[in-house]
Amino acid sequence: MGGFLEVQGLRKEFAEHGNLVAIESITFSVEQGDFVSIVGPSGCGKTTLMRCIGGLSRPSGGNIMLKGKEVTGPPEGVVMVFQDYSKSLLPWRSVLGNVTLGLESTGELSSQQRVDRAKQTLEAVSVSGFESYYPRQLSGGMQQRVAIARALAFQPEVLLMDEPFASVDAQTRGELEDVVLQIWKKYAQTVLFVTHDIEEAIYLATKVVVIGARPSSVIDAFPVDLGPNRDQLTTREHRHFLDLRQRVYRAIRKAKDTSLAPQSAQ
Amino acid sequence: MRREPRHWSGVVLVILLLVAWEAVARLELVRALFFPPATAIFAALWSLTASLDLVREYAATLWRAAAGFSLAACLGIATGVVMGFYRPAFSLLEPLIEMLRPIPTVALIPVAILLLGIDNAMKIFVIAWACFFPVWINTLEAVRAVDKELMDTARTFRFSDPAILAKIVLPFASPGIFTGLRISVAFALILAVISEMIAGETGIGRFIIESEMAFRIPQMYAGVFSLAIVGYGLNRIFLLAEQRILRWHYASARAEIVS
Repeated sequence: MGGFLEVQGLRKEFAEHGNLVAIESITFSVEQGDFVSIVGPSGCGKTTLMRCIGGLSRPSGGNIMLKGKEVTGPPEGVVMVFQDYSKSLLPWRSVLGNVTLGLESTGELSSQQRVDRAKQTLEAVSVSGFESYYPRQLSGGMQQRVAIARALAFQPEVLLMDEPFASVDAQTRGELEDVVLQIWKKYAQTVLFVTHDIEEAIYLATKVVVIGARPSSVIDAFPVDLGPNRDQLTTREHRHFLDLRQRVYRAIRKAKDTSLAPQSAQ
Repeated sequence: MRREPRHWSGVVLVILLLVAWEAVARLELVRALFFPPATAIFAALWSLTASLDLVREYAATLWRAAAGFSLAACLGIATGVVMGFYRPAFSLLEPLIEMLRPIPTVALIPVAILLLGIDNAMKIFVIAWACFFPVWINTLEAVRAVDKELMDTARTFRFSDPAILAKIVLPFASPGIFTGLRISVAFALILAVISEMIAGETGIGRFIIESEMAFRIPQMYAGVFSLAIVGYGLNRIFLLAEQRILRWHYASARAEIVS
C-alpha cells in the first residue's frame, strides 16, 4: 500500500438502471511514471473506471487513493482525454483557443505564456500551422491530436485516456500511438490508457491490466518488458510481444467464459 | 468561402403582388374608398415620412419595444441558464412558468391597465411578458443540450461553476439564445402595436387606429405597410448581428475538412 495511485476494491452501481452493478470489485496499483493499459471486453466498465479515477464519477464502494489522498472530485494534476473528441472540443474556439482552455483554469500563466505553451504542445503532436482553424474544419485524427495537446499543455502528472483512438482509421491510429509514446517519454507523466485493442495495449504500456466482463473485476495484470523504444513493425513482431498477446487474449477469453457461465446455467 | 448566388424570385413575387394590388384598386374590383391603389399608399407613406409624422410615432413605439425586449432578454436568459444548469431551480420554477406561458399576452392587457395605467409602464410590461417566453425556453433547451463531454472537459480542468457557465455553457447555448431573441423581436413589435391600439396617445398602433377613425384610409394602409418594412428591417439587422457574433457557428456549419 501507499503507491502512487491505488484503486482498492472499487465498486460501481448505477441506481438509475435498476441497480446495475457495472463494477464488482477492481483493485490494482500504478507506480509513478507507469504507462498502464487497461483492456477488457466491451461493456466491462472501463470507461466507468476511468471516470472514477478522474473524479468525474463517485464510486459506490471501495476507494481510489492518489498520492495518499482519496479521490472525491477531479484531482489536481489529473486530466482526462475523452473517446469522443469531436464533442469534447469547443466548436466556438480555434484550435489554439481549445489548447489554451485548460491553462485558463489555474491563472498561473499570462495569456502570452498560455499561447506559447499551446503552440509548443501543438508542435509536439504535429498540428503546427492549424492554430486558427476551427475544430470542425479538421479531420478526426487531427481533432484528437488537438484534444491530446489540450491535455498535455496542462502538463498533468496523470493522463487518463479513454479509448482515445477508437474512432480514427488504422493508419492514423498507429501515428497517434507513437505520438502518445513520444510525449510519455518526453514528459514522463503517468498514463492510464483504456482500449479494447490487445495489441495497442501491449504496444504502448509498461503494464497491462485485464478486466473481465460485467460485473467487472481485475482478471490479471501483465508487466510488459519491451523497453522504452518501440517500433510499429519490429516491436509487434517481437517474441515477447507475441507471447504477451496470447496470454492477454487467453485471459480475456477466460473472463468472457466465466461471466457467461451463470447465464447459460439458468 | 463560397457565396450563395443571389435569388431575386422572392423580390419579384412581392413586386408582382403590388402590381396586382394596383390593378385591383384601379379597376375598382373592390370598393375604392376602402382599398386605395398601392401607389397612393406609397405616396402617403412618403409624405408621412417626409413630414416626420411617422418617425415621431415610431420613436415612441420602438422605444417601448426596445425597453420591453431588453428587460425580457435579460430575465429570459438569466432564468433559462439558471434553470438549465441547476436542477433544483428547474424543479422550483418550471411548473410556474409553464402555467403562465399559455396565457395569451393580450388577455393580460386589461389586468395590466388596472395595475399599471395606460402609459409606458403597462406597455413595457406587456411587451416584456410576451418576449420573455421565447427567450427563456430557447435558452433553457440550449443549456440543457450542452454535451456531457464538454462539461466533463471543464470539470477535468477543475473549472469553477461560474467559469463553466462563462466558458462552456453560454457560448454553447448562444445559437439557441439568439433564436429566442429573434423570435422575441417580432413579438416586441406586435405587442407594442396592440397595446397602443388599446390605450394611449402615441405610437404607430395608435396612428393606424386614429387614421381609420378619421377616415384617412391611405394613411391607415401606409401605417400597416410601414410595419411590414420596419419588421423586415429589424429581422435583417438581427440576423446580421447574429452572423457576426456567431461566426464560429456558421463557419463550422459549412466547414470543409482539411487533413
